[in-house]
Amino acid sequence: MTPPILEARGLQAGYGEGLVLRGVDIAVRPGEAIGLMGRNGMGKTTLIRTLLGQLPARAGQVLADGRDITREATFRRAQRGIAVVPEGRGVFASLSVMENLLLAARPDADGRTPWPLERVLTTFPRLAQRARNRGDQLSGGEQQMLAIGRALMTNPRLLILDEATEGLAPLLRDEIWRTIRTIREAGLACIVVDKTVGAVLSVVDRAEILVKGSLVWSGRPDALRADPELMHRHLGV
Amino acid sequence: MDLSGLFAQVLNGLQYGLLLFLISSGLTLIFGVMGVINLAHGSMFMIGAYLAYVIASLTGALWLALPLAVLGGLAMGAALEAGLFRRFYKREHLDQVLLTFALILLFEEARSAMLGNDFHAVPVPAILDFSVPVTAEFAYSAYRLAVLVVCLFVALLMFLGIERTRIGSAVRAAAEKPEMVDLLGLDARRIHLLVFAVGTALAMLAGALAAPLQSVYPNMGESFLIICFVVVVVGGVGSIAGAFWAALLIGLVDTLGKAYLPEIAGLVVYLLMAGVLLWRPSGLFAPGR
Ligand SMILES: Nc1ncnc2c1ncn2[C@@H]1O[C@H](COP(=O)(O)OP(=O)(O)OP(=O)(O)O)[C@@H](O)[C@H]1O
Ligand SMILES: [Mg+2]
Repeated sequence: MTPPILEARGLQAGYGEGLVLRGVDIAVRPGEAIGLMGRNGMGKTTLIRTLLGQLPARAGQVLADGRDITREATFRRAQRGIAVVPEGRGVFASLSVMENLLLAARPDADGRTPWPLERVLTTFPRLAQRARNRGDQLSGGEQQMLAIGRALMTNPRLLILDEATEGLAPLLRDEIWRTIRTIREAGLACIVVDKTVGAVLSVVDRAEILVKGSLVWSGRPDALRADPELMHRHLGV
Repeated sequence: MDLSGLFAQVLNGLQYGLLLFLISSGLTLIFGVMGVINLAHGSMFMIGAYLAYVIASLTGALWLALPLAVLGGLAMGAALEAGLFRRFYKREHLDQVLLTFALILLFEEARSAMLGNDFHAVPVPAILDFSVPVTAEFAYSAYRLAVLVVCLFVALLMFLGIERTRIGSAVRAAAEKPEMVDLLGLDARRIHLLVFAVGTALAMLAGALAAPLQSVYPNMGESFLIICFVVVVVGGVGSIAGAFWAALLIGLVDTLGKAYLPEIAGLVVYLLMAGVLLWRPSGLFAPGR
């Protein structure tokens, strides 16, 4: 079996004195979509930041394609085909939409470009219309599309979406979820973090529930849906 | 008030402002992108000026100092960044201040050991040693005009490089959200090297251009450094456009202040800075955050 694109083994991390992640094991295989669930402050963003090396691991390992990358710089991990739409979107306010996109453009490790600019602009026609506007002139929804489109410009194998629909109007959320489904159908592996549990469960192959920095449950979406008590206890729905 | 005198002062102010821009553009990018307050940036200006003095006295061909200042500045900036500064980006500001202050002392000591502590005038190149008649009764130094033109040309190049190229957008992105630049898989170390090398080259070029205007002397970099920090703060840390407009503004205000309000001339620029900061605490052109 091919090794996971990205894997954590016994991963611990935190801020200052405090430990947030208390030994997390998780793996994403090619083409697989994982819903990383959990209430506010349970450590989802912290896990993503540690997987990408933005926060150092206190213990445990991060592996990419079976290789230990626990000490590798963030930009090298990204170059392995891991793209992130971070919490807060990370759109460059002083760059135009086109500059935001082109800055990210890069073929994948095999030199292929499954997501050329034209395809990103067809996926998000709004971005084509706003091409010359600066990042800070966009609405929240447009910024979110730009953040996703920009991540796709790196032609990733794994796309990590942290709260991609947060703060958006319902219609826009639906549009973002439609896009995430399209991206899924293109065969990209995903880690999806989102407050709308139902929508996450409808796009992922597997859900993982994080409680106070530990993964407490892992399984298929229908198994989670079939267990209202579990949903209520850990996700508050 | 006599008009041609005012006109001359305005030209002086613009020319001074443009020189300030050359120094400040590097200072603001090094601060904005790498988060380092580089006190030794003024030393680069000083080295450029002394380079002009040495070249002019050895060869008599001052113009030679310009390409040498640019090339030498690129090399020196790259060496300082790769050899020293990159180890300090994650350190406390106090460590950075100590490092860059130590560099000032080192550079000044080296200057003193090699060239002594005397003031030296650097002659204006003979070919530009005349006045250009601007109006019937007013003429302006050809060398000052040439400095103005060279600075404008460099500013234009900087603008095109920053605003119209992919590398330029990477620099702006790094000044705004460095963590996001990493997440996109861009190697920030290359951006840092480039910013430092170009910034140093521009400061040395400014020194070489300024040498004939005001002679060369010990610690000449520091007086410029302080006013350039005012430019950086007023323009908005990390913004080239901000540095440009703030440099022109401060060049004009300082020059006109000295000419027409000599009693408070030393204060005018700082009053201006305080005013701008009260009105817009992150400067006129702070890149979005
Ligand atoms: N920069 C920080 N410094 C200190 N503590 C932090 C920092 N960021 C997060 N924390 C703490 O770490 C814990 C986990 O936070 P994290 O952001 O990973 O949670 P999350 O699951 O992503 O929550 P949310 O759903 O609100 O995004 C929280 O208790 C939070 O207060
Ligand atoms: Mg979060």
